Amino acid sequence: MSPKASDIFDILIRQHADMLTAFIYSLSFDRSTVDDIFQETIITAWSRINDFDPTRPFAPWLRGIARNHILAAARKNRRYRAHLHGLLEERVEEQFGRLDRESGDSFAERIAELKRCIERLHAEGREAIELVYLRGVELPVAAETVGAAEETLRKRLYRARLWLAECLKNKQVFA
Amino acid sequence: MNNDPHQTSDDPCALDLGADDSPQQQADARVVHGLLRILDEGESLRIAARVDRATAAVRAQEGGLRLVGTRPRTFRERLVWIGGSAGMAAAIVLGLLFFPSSTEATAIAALHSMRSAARTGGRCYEILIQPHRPPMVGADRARPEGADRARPEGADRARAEVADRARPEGGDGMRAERPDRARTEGFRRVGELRLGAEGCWTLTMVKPRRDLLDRPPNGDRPPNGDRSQKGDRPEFERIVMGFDGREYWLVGPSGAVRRSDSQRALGKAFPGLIKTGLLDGPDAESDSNDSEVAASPDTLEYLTLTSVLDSLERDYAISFDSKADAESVHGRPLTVVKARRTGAATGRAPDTVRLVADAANLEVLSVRLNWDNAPPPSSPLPLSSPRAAPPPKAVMILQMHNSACHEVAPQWFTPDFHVQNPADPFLRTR
Repeated sequence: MSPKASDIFDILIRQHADMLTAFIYSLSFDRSTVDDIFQETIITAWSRINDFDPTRPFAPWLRGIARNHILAAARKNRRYRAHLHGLLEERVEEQFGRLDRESGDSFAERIAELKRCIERLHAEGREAIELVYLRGVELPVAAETVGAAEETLRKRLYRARLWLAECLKNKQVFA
Repeated sequence: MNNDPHQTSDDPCALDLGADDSPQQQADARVVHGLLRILDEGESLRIAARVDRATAAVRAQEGGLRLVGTRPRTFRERLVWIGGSAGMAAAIVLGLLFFPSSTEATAIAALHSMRSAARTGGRCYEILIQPHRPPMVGADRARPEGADRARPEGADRARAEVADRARPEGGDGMRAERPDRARTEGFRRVGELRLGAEGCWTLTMVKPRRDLLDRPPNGDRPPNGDRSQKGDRPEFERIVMGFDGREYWLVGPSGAVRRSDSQRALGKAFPGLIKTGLLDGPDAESDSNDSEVAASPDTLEYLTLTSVLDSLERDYAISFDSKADAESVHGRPLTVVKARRTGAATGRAPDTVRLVADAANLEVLSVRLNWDNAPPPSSPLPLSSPRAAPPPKAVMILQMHNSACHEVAPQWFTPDFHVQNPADPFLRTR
């Protein structure tokens, strides 16, 4: 019995699913579009698999397809489009490229340093990150939980993300 | 802030944040946002669901692609090359498809590839069955009928627990009010399941009919009771049943366990099982409505291969049965996996495990556990060593998907009744 093409493709997608999801979240300003963009990316990748150069890595190719779908979605909204300027895209791709080169069998292993950085985060930021990201609590509920306004919590989260990015830079995970 | 109708109100990344920061800083913060998103355990379930949907769409397109002029052989070779560049991925597929009876490492690699496919349900219960006492079955056998079977003195027992491993899809207020740890503890039940004495167990997982769930036997009704709640859909519920060579046991949707040495008595609890042939014998007592289930065996749901192999991986050498290619059930190919205990496992873990699964969706159709040195059923059992054996790390984990908040009944290990039928329910049925 020989392997079916779709079986191998299936495995490749499963290997890259975490990375692809993180990438889509990074560039999408609307959480509700993540499912659609993910699905469209996979279907497009499959339909264009003959265009893929197998001498090159699979992950950037997949991200390129995802980015096009994100941009297509953003075209419907001028405000998003303004934020998705080329520099942002390039920088995001650059950081994911760095993550591709990190050691680890899985994407989760390659971002292990992020968890260590979270542990070092100041208490207020760590509480916000844990509530919203690690435990999946919706923002309004999280704000109520910590006794802060939503806007305050957003700013707190943003500062925490900046700090985490710096931490990852110091660990040379980020460029 | 965040008044854009296209930006969801719960998105922690407001567009106007970071206006004073450099574009690089903003981009880095976005990347961190993306990475943090996948750290949520609930997200892994959503990712698995996305992958399943996407790959299903790909498979639906696969035939069409080959018709549009791509030479199948070249196309396949090209993909194999891509797969080869991914190293591990190719090993998994080749191990699974080319060398179904090859090494343990290959089988385990294949197992890893299967894991994510099985984790698509919104809710899942995990049942851990773990022998933890030195077996003294002889003493148990001498117990009079009707004695307390829940904790027979000196019996061969298994510790069993069921825990809600689910993470709700999307957040809600409840999560903030009830931290994960407390929630998990609240859904955990631990009890004891007495192990049978013989050398063979057969486990089958089936989904009872909706109307049976609406009228569960005593002790098997979920405490919340209200089946009209959102997400509480009986069609996703399952039961686990087993045969230990002497009696049947059955874990209901709420976790209640009942035993029976009377096939008819078990049939009273779940008459649909008999009609489907999963239990043998006449079904004179079941009502005519059961024929609906009998006519539609495909409506039954089974365990997934991954959940079982997951727990065997550490202490068992896993291999694929090369004869699996030739086996099929109603034209559906089977995957047969054999696991042999290595030296690592201790206690009374089974020596071999044979799993038969549907090759297409990896649903486990039957599990057979064997102890090499188990005595014949009629002989006294030399298993009454007073020395306490250390508990094995894991014997088997059965994963039971459930759609919503089924709190497990506190008495979920109260056996009710008893039956005898040493046949393999699944194999006889099919």
